[in-house]
Amino acid sequence: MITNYNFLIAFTIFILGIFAIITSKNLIKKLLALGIFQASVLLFYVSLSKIHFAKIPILKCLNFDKCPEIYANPLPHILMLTAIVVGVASLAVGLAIIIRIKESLGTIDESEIDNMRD
Amino acid sequence: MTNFDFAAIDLQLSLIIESFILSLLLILTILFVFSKNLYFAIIYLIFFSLCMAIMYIAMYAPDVSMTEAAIGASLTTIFPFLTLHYIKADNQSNDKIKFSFIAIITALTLIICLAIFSYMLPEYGNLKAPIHHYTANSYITSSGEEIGIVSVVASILASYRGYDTFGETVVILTAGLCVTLLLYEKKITPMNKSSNDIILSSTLKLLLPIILLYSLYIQFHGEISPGGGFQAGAILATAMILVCLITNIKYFLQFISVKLLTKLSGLGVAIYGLVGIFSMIRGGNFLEYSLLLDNKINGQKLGIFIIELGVGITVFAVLTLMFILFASRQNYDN
Repeated sequence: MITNYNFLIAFTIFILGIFAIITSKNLIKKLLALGIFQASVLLFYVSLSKIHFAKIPILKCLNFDKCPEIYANPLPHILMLTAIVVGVASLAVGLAIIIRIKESLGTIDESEIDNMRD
Repeated sequence: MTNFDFAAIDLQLSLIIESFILSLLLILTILFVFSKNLYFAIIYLIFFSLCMAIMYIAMYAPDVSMTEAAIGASLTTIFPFLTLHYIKADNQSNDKIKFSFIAIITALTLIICLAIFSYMLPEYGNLKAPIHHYTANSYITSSGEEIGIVSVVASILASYRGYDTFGETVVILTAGLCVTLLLYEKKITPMNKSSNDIILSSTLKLLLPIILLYSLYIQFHGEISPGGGFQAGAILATAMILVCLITNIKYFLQFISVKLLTKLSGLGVAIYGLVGIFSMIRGGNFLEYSLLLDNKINGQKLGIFIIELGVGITVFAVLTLMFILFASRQNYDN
């Protein structure tokens, strides 16, 4: 059984996301690939926080010494939670810019925009 | 009865299931990269977000899973669909993929290098990894008594790292501002046609109160169970989008206008900042909730309650505003 499969898949999706940003010519597809790239980073961080057979990070009782349990590490959860919301906000800004590009240039294909520049 | 080692079988089974879901994620990514039709690419992205949400549950992160399902699977995909709808020409919704030899070789080299590094990381799920012993351990052991709420995630998010959350709420507000600057027109003339389907309108009448109640439940139970302001704001925004899809945007704007949404988005951040300033007036640091009331624990609880409300209001208002601006943009040259 391969351990660390999570990290392997996270890195592979990371590289595939960058690959999709470089090779695709449509601006919307580049933004969506950026979203996948971000999702792989979140997967990596939350995989770091897993402990086998741990409890989810909601305390059983307020005084930790009375019921000591092993809880999953809550710190990456919080950072990734806000990363998801900020990611969708920046995706919306990128798509708004793409709409304006389409209105002013008439195309959202990168090779056509490059040809227009000359 | 032979003695089965249930813990070991349980571990192997959970690793097998996780490996299956991860392989599914990899297949979906490959399909996404090599797909030429953009509509298919967005569908692969929806499925990807759903598998990520399941993975987060398998890694004991219910807060992140709920946020991914509420925001990633629904809102990250509706904005590209709206953009594609606006860009109506058919040849623009296809992608020409250009394969260069150098890009493929570089990608393979980097994957092999990172795969080697991934085995130098601590073993997945091992309790002895160094990150579990210092900061996180101190938060878990002391947050129950210092702050008094049961959810460690909510207490770190809102109290120990409350300043970060304030910054993130301001980032969401700024994104709403940017989209408004780019797409706002003084006369919004949204489409007036709606589907007169009786099944859809009856379903809306049944579902809408349940969704509204659920979002309020998640908002106010963020301290006891997974939840909080971000998820509740996203679910409320999704409910509003549902209303806009089944009836039309003109009808929706009679009740909640764009002006009201812009004011609400500022109101959420203002509530958050005012809590911080009020605690400075009482003699402490910015966002030090212990000084809000006379009892320290009650002050923390009140502070967390109010700022989660502020976060929920801002997230709801910004996401709904973005949807309305995207969906009511008219093609002037068509």
